[in-house]
Amino acid sequence: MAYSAEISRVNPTCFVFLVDQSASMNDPIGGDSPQRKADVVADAINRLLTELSVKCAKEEGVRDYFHVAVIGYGSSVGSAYAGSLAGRDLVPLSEVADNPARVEERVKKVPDGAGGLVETTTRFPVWMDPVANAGTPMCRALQYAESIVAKWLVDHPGCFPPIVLNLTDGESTDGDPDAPAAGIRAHASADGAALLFNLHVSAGGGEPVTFPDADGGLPDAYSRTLFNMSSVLPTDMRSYAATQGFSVSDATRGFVYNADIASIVQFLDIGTRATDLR
Amino acid sequence: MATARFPSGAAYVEALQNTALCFDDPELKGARVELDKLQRPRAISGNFASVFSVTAANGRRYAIKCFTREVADQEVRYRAVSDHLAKLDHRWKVGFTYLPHGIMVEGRRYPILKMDWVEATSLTRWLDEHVHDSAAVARLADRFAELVGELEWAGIAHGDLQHGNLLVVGDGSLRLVDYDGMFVPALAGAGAAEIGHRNYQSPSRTQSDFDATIDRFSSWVIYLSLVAVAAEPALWGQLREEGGEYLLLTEDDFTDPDGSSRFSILLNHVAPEVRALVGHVQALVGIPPNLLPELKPIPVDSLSTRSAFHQPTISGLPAWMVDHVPEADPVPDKHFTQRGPVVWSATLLLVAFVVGAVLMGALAVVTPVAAAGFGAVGVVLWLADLAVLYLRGPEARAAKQARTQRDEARQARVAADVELGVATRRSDELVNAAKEIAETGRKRRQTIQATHGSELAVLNQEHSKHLAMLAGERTGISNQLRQELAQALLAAQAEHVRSKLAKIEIAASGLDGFGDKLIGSLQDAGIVTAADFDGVGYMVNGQFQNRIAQFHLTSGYSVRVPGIGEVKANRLEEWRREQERIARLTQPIRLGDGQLRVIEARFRTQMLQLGTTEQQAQAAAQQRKTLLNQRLTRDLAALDVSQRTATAQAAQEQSRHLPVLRKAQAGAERARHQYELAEQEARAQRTITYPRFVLFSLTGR
Repeated sequence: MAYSAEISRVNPTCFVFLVDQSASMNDPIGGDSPQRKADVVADAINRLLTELSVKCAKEEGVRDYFHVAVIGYGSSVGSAYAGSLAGRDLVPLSEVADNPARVEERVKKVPDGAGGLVETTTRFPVWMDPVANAGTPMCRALQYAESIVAKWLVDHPGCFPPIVLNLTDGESTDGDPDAPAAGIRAHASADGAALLFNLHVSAGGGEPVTFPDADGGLPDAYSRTLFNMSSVLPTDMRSYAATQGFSVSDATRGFVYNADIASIVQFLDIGTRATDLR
Repeated sequence: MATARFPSGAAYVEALQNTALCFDDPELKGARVELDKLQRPRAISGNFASVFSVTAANGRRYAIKCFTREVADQEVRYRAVSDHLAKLDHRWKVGFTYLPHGIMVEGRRYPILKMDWVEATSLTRWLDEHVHDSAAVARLADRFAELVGELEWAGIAHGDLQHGNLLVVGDGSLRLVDYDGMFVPALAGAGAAEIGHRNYQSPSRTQSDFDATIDRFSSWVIYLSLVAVAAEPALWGQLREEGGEYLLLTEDDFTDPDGSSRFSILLNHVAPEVRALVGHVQALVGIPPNLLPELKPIPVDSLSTRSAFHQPTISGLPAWMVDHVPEADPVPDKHFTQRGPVVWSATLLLVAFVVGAVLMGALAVVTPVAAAGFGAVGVVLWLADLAVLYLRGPEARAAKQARTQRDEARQARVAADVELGVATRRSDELVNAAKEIAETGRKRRQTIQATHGSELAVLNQEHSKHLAMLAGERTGISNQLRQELAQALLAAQAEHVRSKLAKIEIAASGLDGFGDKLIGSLQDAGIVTAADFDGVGYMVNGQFQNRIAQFHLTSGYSVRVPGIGEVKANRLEEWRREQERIARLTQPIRLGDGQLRVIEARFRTQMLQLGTTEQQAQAAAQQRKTLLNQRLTRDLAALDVSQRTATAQAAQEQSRHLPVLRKAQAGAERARHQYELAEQEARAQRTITYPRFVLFSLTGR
């Protein structure tokens, strides 16, 4: 059965995050939140890297079940890591976990359990800073991801298929992204084709759409393009989504439109969940 | 089905940064959490939960298990397990309390498991550290068998026996942790909450297998691994990859036991007892989980003292050392030892002959030449005797054997190198084949897209041409319409003038000089009203040198009217023009509505037809475009599928070949070591020669 390979230190897989850093990411996300899209996406990536690190933490430390790349695209296409990992593409997860650019003290208000709110400080590791300028070279970014995936598969032909997660607010400015997206999905390990998921962060309004199985309800051409670029969720991920209360079908795709912060984390959580972490 | 969403591991890490807020339990409230390098709570995560180390104010340390996934009937299960374990006093137990609302995350309460902290090492880590202490590993195998026996005796099962859940404490005893999947009799019929680690379970185990027998397969696997490693520590390095989540065997070995290289290596184990055990475990794969036999340990203590556990290799090193001595220490040169009675007797022989010869010479029993000859014969006999002794002696035999073994090792090394070469070439071929597939796919994609692009361009061009032609027609039609309208207007105006002029009779004009006779002549010529002629022309009469007027009748004829000369004709013509000018003042300047409608209607039909033609052309082009796009999508999808299949196939071949390559690499490395050791052994024998033996027989050195 496809998408059932063991993810282990002996047989690790890779994650490639593509982060839109175009000028339009300066705009607020819309709805009630005054946050900029670039901040939302940077937070999402930082949370995701934390999530992966915790998920792979064992008694002796974080294990290299994954190798992770964070690629930004805007004025250029390349590594978006800040700090000591700057400039690197795929980095073993243990190294990622130990080397954030900094750890911020964030104050937030949380429910006290008795109906009130109480202020508490948490330490929040930051690997990537928000950036927003220039165009949206999505095609180049997808091609960059494809080259990472292709190289990875030469050395790890039996791995759980690599996952590419594209976080963007929309329109590619360097051509139709459909072909380079298909280029990624055409690569495969013995366990199945590489997976491409998309997260569309839009100020365009409309109902958030999470894991749709058709593009009918999507509000604009960009979201439909991104939907059609996205891989169908493999069975195990789909059933995990179902147990978390999402309605899914055989055609459900790894796509989220106009996701607010909560659904970003939901999406990443499921997208990053491998069938079985052993 | 409940679909409560449990917090993620990171959410728990965040919540645990404030234990005064997140915990309710008085002992845990405000307790100190162990931190990681980033000074955040340090998690140890599994598939269903993350565990944190928490030290209470009273100094007690706990492992707090926070769940990241829903487990059906979790509370019921933990209560049942807790109640049952309370009745047992086994050493492997670790105490726990289930707190259904133990932790608050983002305002909601979730259950936790508060477990006693165990200072211990996980099984694989312990083995990494103790693999060369065969006695300790053998003792652990014994203790493991005991633990399994206790579970069997109590009629319970852990459900997920594996290296991560078996901890070794300082005194070498075992602790069993993680009771999420435990079976106790009270849970019979509940179904399994999990089906255990893939590298320890029977391939046929399912969630409906849930009784006291669910640990049996994993027990055999773990026990076999421990016993095999105790007997042959090299296996720990040979059968495992660094960081592998298994002991000696993996899921692959269970799904394909006959094709498994690990089983085949284990079946060649040095100890016959272990070989038998391996055969037994291999056969368990085909047995339904609930019919698996109980673990029956072999007497490890007796085994561990036997020579099979310390089988020397040709270099005298135990098997595992071969892997662990990169460059062996130089072997000291060999020497002859212990001149036995036989050597002594040979020496005596020599002495007897020499003494005899000297005596014979001295006493002149024989000639000096004969005496010398006698002595020489003695020396020759002595040397011959020594030669026989040398060749039969243990040292020369050992030397010969060492050289033979060196030659064999050299051959083995060459063979292993050849094998490695073949495997490496195959590996390169596979990598190139995969690249080739990707490249071919890229080219085909480009071709498809280029073809599509050029066909689309041709289609667009044809379509534009067609549209341009239709637009030309449309212009033509509207020009024609304009023209026709203009002509119709001219005709209407002409008719208006004609009818006006027809009502003005010349007789009533009172023109000077036009009497009744002349009027009559005009009438005879058909000219009664101003409408009856439209102009006058003149002909020159050559004979009389005068000009004769000719009236152009509106019927088309020209007539002469007798009695009308140039002057009168001019006057009449002027009068007619004046009448026409007056009539023109009232002529229509636009067409009548009815006429306009008739003409326009005729052209509207033409325009509509043209519009339809245009629409049809648009639709046809659109349809062709759609077909082209559909074909592109179809071709690309087909390409995707074939590429995926080809890539997956290539990847499968690569992954199938990977173990072959690794094995060949390990084999070549091993053969190289073996050869080096054998070579050193052989080199150490260079001192074992016949001349040295002769010397040795005399001097003892």
